[in-house]
Amino acid sequence: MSELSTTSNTPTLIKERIILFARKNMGLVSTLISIMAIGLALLIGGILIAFAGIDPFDAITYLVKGSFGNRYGFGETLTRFVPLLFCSLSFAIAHKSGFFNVGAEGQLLMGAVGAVLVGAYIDGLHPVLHVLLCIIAGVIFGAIWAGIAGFLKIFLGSDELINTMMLNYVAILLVDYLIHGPIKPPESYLYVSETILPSAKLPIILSKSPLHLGFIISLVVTAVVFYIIYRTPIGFQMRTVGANRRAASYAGINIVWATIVALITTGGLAGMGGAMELMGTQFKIVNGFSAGYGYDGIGVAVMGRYHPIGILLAALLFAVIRVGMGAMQRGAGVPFPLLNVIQGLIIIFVIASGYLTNRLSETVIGGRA
Amino acid sequence: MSEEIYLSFRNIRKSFPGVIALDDISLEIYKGQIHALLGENGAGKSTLMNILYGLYHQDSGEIFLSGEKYEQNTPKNAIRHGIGMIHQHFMLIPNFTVLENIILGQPSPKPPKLEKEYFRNEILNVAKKFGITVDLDLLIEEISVGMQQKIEILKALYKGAELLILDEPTSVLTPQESQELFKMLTALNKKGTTIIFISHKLKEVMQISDRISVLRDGKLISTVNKSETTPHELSRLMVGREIITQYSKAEIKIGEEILILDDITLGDHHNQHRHLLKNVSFKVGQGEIVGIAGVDENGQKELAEIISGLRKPTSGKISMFGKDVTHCTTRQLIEMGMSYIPADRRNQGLVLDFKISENAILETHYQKPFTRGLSLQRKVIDKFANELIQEYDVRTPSINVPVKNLSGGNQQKVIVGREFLKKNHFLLVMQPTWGLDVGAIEYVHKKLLEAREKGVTILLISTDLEEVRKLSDRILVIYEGEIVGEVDSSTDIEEIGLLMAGSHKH
Ligand SMILES: Nc1ncnc2c1ncn2[C@@H]1O[C@H](COP(=O)(O)OP(=O)(O)OP(=O)(O)O)[C@@H](O)[C@H]1O
Ligand SMILES: [Mg+2]
Repeated sequence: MSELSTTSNTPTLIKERIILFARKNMGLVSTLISIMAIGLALLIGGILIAFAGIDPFDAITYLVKGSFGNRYGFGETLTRFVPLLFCSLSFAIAHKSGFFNVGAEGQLLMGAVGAVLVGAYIDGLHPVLHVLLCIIAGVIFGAIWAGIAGFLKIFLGSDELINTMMLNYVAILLVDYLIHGPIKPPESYLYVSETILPSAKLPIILSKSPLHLGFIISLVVTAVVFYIIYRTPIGFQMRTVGANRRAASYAGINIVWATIVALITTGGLAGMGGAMELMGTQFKIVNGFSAGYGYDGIGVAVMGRYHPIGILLAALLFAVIRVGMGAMQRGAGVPFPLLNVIQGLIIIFVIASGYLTNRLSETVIGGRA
Repeated sequence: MSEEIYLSFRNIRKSFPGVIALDDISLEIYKGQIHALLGENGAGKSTLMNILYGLYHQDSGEIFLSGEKYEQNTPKNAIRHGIGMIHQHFMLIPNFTVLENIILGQPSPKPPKLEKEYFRNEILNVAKKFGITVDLDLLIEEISVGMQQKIEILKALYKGAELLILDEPTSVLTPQESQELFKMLTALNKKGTTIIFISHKLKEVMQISDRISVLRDGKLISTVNKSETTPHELSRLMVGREIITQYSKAEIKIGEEILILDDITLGDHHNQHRHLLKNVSFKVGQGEIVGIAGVDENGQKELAEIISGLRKPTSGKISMFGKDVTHCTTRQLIEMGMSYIPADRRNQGLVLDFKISENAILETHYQKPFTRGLSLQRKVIDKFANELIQEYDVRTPSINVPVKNLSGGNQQKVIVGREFLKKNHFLLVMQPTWGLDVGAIEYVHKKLLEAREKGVTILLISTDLEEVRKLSDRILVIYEGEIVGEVDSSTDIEEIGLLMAGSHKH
């Protein structure tokens, strides 16, 4: 490549140098662009906050302090991170397999139902076994919920976007019904589910904080998921089906089977997220149990560009925002709708920066994305 | 012919990660000429044109258009400057009409109304001016590939193109359609349109161009006037050596029948009275190459899909290696030793977003040694992919490049290599040399003949009559889904051509 720099006139030489540098350090460039995007979104957010008559620096201080400035906040951020990560893994794996699953919200809820049934009603188990069984129940319930949508798609050809979305509402209403009767503790006046037994609770791993074992589990699961996707035959088949169905059938890949595995995984992951949230944080199902983790998971996956490291970072960012914004609201009095606007800004800017990087690498750096 | 410079490239350089695609290219295109670009697969032809059209930016160097510096190369700006490009893969919307496709993206004279009638007149005027006849109300999916190409050209002309770039326009056309295209291009050229034409077919280049430039490894080797050169010289300039186009075929004894089609019929979903394939019966023996000749869209694709298990016939029986395989899945056939090179490389033969190494194991990824236990064996796979790119001369910096970044011909080489390197006893080969340069064609042909000598059974489906004649032991002619004749490979082209056109019916 050294001969590239022998061009005679200086302006193009500098341009070539920049291009060459960018080409060699595409990762760095795209990270810088993302960070700039977040900065820009925060800047605009700050201006909006100032317009609302609140000192933006004050607000930012609360954001930082609340989300990782102290032990408790730090633990809480990492706790929020867990269901977000599971839901984004769920979306990412479906995406890679050519399946648009916007149903993580419902699958997560159903997973929590599965875990509550095992966690609250089966007594006398060894904690390790009990925890394991709860997780498995969560996975199965989530997988079944995704499976219904998949069944409708594979055998009736109905669109999975609509199916998974509608099943979210079904799940929400079903849970609502359950906590009004079947799984409500008889003596309770509140509409909640039975609380899981102590043996089904996940242990705390950071004292004086809510951080529980689910955090470690979520990291391990991330590694396993990406290993399956990139390093195993079934993962290869799922990706092939996702990238090009015609090529997949040409290659003799069983598309129905690959899709079924993808469905079980995508639903299972969201369900596992629900189980974790239940067993580590909430211990019972209340109205509004999920608070939109399923939908945020989509944002996390897109923002993290379906890449393992990207998803981990994006999930962390979302968790920081979620927790930090609570603190901003309580501490600095930033109104909630404004917080939503700022969160939206960050998502839009980061996604837009992704497109910018793509375009750059397409025309200038070389290699159409 | 006027010798006014219309377009000049000055010191264009473009590199991609690991490759220098264009190395200091300086080239002049004269106004009103047909200028051909020749070069091996991966020489940089498409890249140069993509830069001109604004799909890529050069790293350095300048472009001058009618004497003025042309900066800001984006497709939009290119259209504004009268540059039109016809890509090898058309960009028309299948379920839109011709008219709708042409006006797509054009601002309406009276928004928010679409004003189709206004556009219709305008387009018909342009069509008349250039002597193109079209029916604007047909759906794109209803018209032939040759017609679609005409529409693409008309679309470019309607947008005011004075320079037309055609990237391998004839590789998807039948010989007849190609001739028609040339007639049209010559007519356009007479009316003043400048044309840049990329092709691997020396005959075509010699037929229609005024000047010819040869690229090799990103460098401009030479630019010559057509009248001062010969196909021989051109192919030597391109690959740097002589190309053999006549092969001697070894005499071998044809063995037992490996592939038997018995009365295969395939109905048409949309039309009960039509058949896509009708009573097709034939046999191919071990060590035999049987060619299926025919004009495109006469049932070849369906035939290949049925033989490869991708589609089930309405009636009839297929057996392979002495077993009834009518109801076998594609994977079972692959495991029995079938290899299939499909015609549609971009949508069927490859996963464009996957790396070369992943495409190399598309069908065999789950087998030993690529998978052991639960895991894909990276090292084994990479080693295999490296062997493939070496042996089949795939020009790429590494096996980790997504195949969509390979040049068209190099994509084809990945498929060919994969199918040949796989365990195979029966090769189903469709248009195996599409988009390949002369050197690569020679190589693939040699490989096919080698396989035959080793006793592999080969069914070669191609619209390229010369290729079919050169390689086959026997030729079957397909017309409207029926086998209408069997001839041997020494039969002359005219006679086969008549059969292909359905002469038996008259
Ligand atoms: N988007 C890209 N990213 C990386 N490398 C690329 C890209 N496009 C082209 N290349 C490389 O640049 C070189 C020139 O490619 P180009 O497509 O111009 O070849 P070509 O002359 O058109 O060949 P063909 O006859 O096979 O179409 C090749 O080595 C190719 O691998
Ligand atoms: Mg090309």
